[in-house]
Amino acid sequence: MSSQLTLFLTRYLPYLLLLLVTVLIGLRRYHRMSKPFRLLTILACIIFVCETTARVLAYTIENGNSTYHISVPFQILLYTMIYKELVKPGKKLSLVMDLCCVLGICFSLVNTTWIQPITKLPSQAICIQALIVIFYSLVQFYDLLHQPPTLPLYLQPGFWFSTGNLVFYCTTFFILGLFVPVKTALGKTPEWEYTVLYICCWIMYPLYIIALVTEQKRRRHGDQ
Amino acid sequence: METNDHLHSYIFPVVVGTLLFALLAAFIIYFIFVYQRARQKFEWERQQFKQALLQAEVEIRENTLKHVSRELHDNVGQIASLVKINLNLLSTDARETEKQRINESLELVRRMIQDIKALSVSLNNEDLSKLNFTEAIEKDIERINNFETVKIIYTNEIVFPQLKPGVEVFLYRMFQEIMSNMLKHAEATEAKMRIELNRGKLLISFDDNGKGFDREEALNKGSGLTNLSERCRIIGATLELDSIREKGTGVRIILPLEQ
Repeated sequence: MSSQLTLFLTRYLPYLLLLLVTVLIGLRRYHRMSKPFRLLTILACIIFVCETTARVLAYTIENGNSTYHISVPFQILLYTMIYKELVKPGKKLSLVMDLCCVLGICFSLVNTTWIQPITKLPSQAICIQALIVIFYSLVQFYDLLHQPPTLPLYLQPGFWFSTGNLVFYCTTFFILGLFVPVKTALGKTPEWEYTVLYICCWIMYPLYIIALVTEQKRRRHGDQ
Repeated sequence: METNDHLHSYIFPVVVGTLLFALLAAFIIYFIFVYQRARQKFEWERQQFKQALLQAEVEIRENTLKHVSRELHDNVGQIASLVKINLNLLSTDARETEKQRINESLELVRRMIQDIKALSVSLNNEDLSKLNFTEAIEKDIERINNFETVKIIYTNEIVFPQLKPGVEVFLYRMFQEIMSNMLKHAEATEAKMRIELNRGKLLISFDDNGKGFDREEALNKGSGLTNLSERCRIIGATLELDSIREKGTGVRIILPLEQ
């Protein structure tokens, strides 16, 4: 119990506080932001609620995995909506993004129903989500290169948002790809997997905060 | 043995994880580099487009002026000439008291025809290419000096260099803009204009003893100064402006000749 409390205080509490700060910054600027960053604020809210519930469930019924099963489809949908607003894709790309979204959500539901039940971490659904978000991030980078706006890169909220996603989801894909084989080989999930994911969260959410702050600056500069 | 197995289980994720992070970092650094280059290219293209747009605008303005010049010469000038002929005919049959008035009117019409001709020449850049820059501005200065409201002292001790086609027209229009601003707003009694060559640069300077102005205010009010600086930018010249209230205004156009 004591080690669990220590883990909560040293790892989960700072993480939840970071998420809360991201949510509060988003909500404070909500009406002054463009649509994709309003959606990002909603996404941050969902992640915050999901992670808090997961912690509560982990300490009460000793399994918080069910929240991830519920949040993954919503996250896929929101990431698709955000990137569609950010990239403003043409007909073909828009169709591909819609297809990714539908397939991702379907796979997540199939995974929950037949492959990884609700008591287990939906690592495969998260892997698919990671693949989708990596694809969207790369599309956003490509878009930035082909229609370079007048503002410098550090004032491009889309750049910060996609960089955060790329770092976090590449690592997540790698870690969760190894999740089942490593767990089978070692008999338990090694601690380093959680540590690396924890570090990546501390990279991604501050980059989300930078994106939310630069979004306001960008709008002040008048570049849409 | 167990420790070795434990170590081996870590080697793969550590190596792959490090490679993944290195790859990600390299990708982001490479992206930043490529983006900067793309942004510079985009900025350059935007500037080129803006310049082409300005040039088109100037060309349209030149064509309009040419049209006005032709109208002045062919239409208004002709009518004025007919009025002059009629007045001449009238004066032969008129009584002595009327003759004096008709002669006064004739003099006014003669001056009007002269002014229309001069204005028509100054508006038409084809005439400018026939005359060349210095001759054209000498004519304008002479015309302004004839009004006797301001005395312009003109100094030119150089052989005017050969410039790129169109640049002389730009310089001449800028000269006209400066003169027009001075006559309209400066209330100056004396002005100096000087053309010189200095270290491969053509320097055209104007100084008047007028009432001066506030630069920011003037920029907000009208497009005269903006026009001047835009024209300068198109031909690659620099515009320097000094104005002190109640002391006068100084304008310098510096054009690097290697351009």
